Amino acid sequence: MKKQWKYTRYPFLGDTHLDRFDFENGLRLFVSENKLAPVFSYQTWFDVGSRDEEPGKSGLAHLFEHMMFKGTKSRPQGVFDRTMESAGARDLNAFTSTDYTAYVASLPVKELELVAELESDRMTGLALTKEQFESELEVVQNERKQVMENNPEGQMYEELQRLAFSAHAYGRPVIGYEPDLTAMTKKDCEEFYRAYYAPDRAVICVSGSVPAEKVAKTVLKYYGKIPASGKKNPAPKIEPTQKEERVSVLSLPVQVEKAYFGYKIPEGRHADQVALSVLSMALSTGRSSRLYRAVVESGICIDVGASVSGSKDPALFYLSFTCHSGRKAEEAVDAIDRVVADVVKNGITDEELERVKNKLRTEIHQGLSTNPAVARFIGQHELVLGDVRFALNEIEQIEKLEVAEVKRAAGQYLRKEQRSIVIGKPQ
Amino acid sequence: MSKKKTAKKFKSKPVKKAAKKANASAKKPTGPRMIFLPEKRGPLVHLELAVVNGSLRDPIGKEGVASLTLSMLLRGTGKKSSTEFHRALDNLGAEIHLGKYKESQRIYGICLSEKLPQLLDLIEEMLAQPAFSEEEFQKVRDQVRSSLMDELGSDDDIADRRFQEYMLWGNSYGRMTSGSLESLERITVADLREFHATYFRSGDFVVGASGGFDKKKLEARMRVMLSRLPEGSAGAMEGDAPKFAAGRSILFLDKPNRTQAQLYIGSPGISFHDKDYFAMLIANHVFGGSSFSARLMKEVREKRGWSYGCYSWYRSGKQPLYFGMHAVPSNKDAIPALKLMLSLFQDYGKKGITKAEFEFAKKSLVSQSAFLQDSLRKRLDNKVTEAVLGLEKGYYDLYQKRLSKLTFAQVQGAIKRNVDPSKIFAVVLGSVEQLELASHGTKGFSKLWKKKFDEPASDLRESDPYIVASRGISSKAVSNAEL
Repeated sequence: MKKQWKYTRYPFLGDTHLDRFDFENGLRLFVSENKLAPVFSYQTWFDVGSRDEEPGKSGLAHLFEHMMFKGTKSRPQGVFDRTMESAGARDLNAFTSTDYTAYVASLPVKELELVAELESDRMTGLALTKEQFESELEVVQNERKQVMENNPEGQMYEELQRLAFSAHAYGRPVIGYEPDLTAMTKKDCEEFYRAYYAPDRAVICVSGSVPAEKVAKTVLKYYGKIPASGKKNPAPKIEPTQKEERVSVLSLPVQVEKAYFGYKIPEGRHADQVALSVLSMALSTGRSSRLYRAVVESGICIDVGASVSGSKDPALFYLSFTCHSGRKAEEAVDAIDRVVADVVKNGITDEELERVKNKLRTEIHQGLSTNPAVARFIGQHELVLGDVRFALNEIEQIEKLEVAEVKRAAGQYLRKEQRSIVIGKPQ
Repeated sequence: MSKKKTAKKFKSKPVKKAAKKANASAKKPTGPRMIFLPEKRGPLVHLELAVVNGSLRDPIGKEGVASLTLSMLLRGTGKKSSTEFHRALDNLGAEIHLGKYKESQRIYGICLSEKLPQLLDLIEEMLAQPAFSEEEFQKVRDQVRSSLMDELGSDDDIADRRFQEYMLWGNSYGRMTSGSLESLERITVADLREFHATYFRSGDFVVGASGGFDKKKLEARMRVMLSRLPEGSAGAMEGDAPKFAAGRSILFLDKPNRTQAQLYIGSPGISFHDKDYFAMLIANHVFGGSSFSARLMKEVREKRGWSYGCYSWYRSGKQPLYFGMHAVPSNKDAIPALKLMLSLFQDYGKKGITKAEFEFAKKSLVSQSAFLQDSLRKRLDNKVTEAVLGLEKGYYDLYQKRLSKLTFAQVQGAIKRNVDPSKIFAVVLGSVEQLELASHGTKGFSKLWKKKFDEPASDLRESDPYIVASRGISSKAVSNAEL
């Protein structure tokens, strides 16, 4: 008998494991079983995001994500939502990023067959009408107004990406520029669908009280005959090396000053990502962290944060803060610069490193304590890093990390000439 | 335009008076309630400690006292400075979060099982020996003050705040948990000390844990922790049910240069204790609940593309608080969207829902009930909430059963009793001159007001009505227009 799939089992968190099934048409399925409640999460991750859009077509990946909730050849508009919700679907949603697009739902266990049938149907049979396209385009334009035009922080984030990336698509907003959205056509969506929505471009992630083999058989039944597209992601434009600090000051309808920083860092698979993640936590996690003490405890800011974007291509180490009323963003920038200079010169202490490791041990269990979070962890890392085991390996590497590596990473990446800053000031 | 600024100044009521009253009923020896949900394999422990004294206890004119008191528990103890306390907490890799509500205040803790004893030591210290230093108080108050200023930059946040403040003006639930810029000025560190001494009593606590722990050991440890607090209870805390005036009122909050408007629409709500509560969950699922198949979503978003989201919900507590609707349309669609939502609400109140809609919503909500129990954290929070709100034991466990029993006729009856489209209060935050009020008309509203978005909330009954110039709507017509 012909082999139906290639099966692999990976160790996962603690004493759990992750089952992987590779189907002939290129579809990947991951199943993480647990028996906490008679429910499961079912997520379909497509290997396409705003990174893959051509200039002039910004926002297409996200706009198309909306169109996926319209009708198919066999199910008119509204049937998908109604059928899923009637079956008890929770968190029925989708999201688009620079590197991926995901469709998510959580359901009672008896609905496995239903979700596989509906999701496979819209992977191959979407039927978009002109009216549906136009009405949904207006919804997306309203979403853009809500999260960007009428949202000072959205405007600042859009400006930071634009400032930091002059060539790479990461410089364009995921939601797209308004003129690009206005010019978008139904044909653009249909071509995008044919190119990127196929089993060889998808990862299905299932977490919950469902047996792995049963899931695999169900997925085979509904997706097994869908052909692969063979489409490859376009090669991204290489971002030229940044040689000097870039600063943009925006006049916004805010009452307090704010800022977003972005330091250039390598892609998510790079070996320095582990040290950079620890560095971001040492700087900003908890009220004993260096940045919190320097800018919040000192009375300059009301909040401060740092995070690392683990992306397909080189991206940013983010810092952000919100000032106290009457305080200047420049004061906070100076205080942050002093903290960064000290970390670059002296590194972090053993106590700080141990604190971060303890925090991560808690966060890993906490962050992966729900089915949607587990499915998301798998999908995101499988697509962005190319292999979910890479992320699991990073967790082990953090345990072995030493302070010298954090110091080296700080010196190499937290450099003024590699950073962009957007400051928002009251109008 | 509103010409008068007639906000009634709150007279500060000293905390001491309230404390004296509370102490009178503190003699009654009631013990804390404990909930333990051990899970053998859990690497984590979730803790939840709730005191059944929330911001409804804030003295009038000193809104924010309860919230600041809770914040100050994380600002140093008799043994540790704030910095030392947080270093100890962060070294454990543990977290403590605070939940500030009108009917309770909660402390949430999370840690790896092996760190539980140390985390409990820290929580005991913060609960029983808070330092309440003047220096830390100033810092915390400045933080809240600046956060309130920051909120003015978020259209959604400030519209939501003003919607509640104006709609529930004069009611205990309309006094915001975080306080206001004005009320914060009146609060002193002595108020917080007094609040803590008066309302953090062991008899008013509901404590619980879920995850990997030894139940006997933890229960003994919790008892020791709570024995460090004053005994007894501060007595029952009851807010008054909001009263909605008859008629449709609308308040425009003017904010320049907006391309969209925030629409918030309110009407009478329902309490958790009401016999119709579950029936109204089904009804609202049809009308505008978290469903893409709901009427609001289909009509406002799907058919017309007017707003990214359009929802309705019940804000419930021990008292019926309010029913709310929200949408964020473009300026050109703002008034048409508002009118459409009101017309849908009117129709829903008059005709109820269809049998097919009932079947759909009931099946959907019954099936979704499994998600109420799908994490250890949720299971614990459900049990604590049951105790805090005085709900029947097993309220969340019986959720599915209660929904399953409901009939179409019962839901239709509940809609008749609880949906009242003649009582409406709407807030529209946006650039008022861009909303084309004159061309769209404002017929259907009996009262209109216009305020600046950053103006402190006040009693609208003491403000002049807003007059829309064209279409012949005069001041008189505005005040007396038919619904």
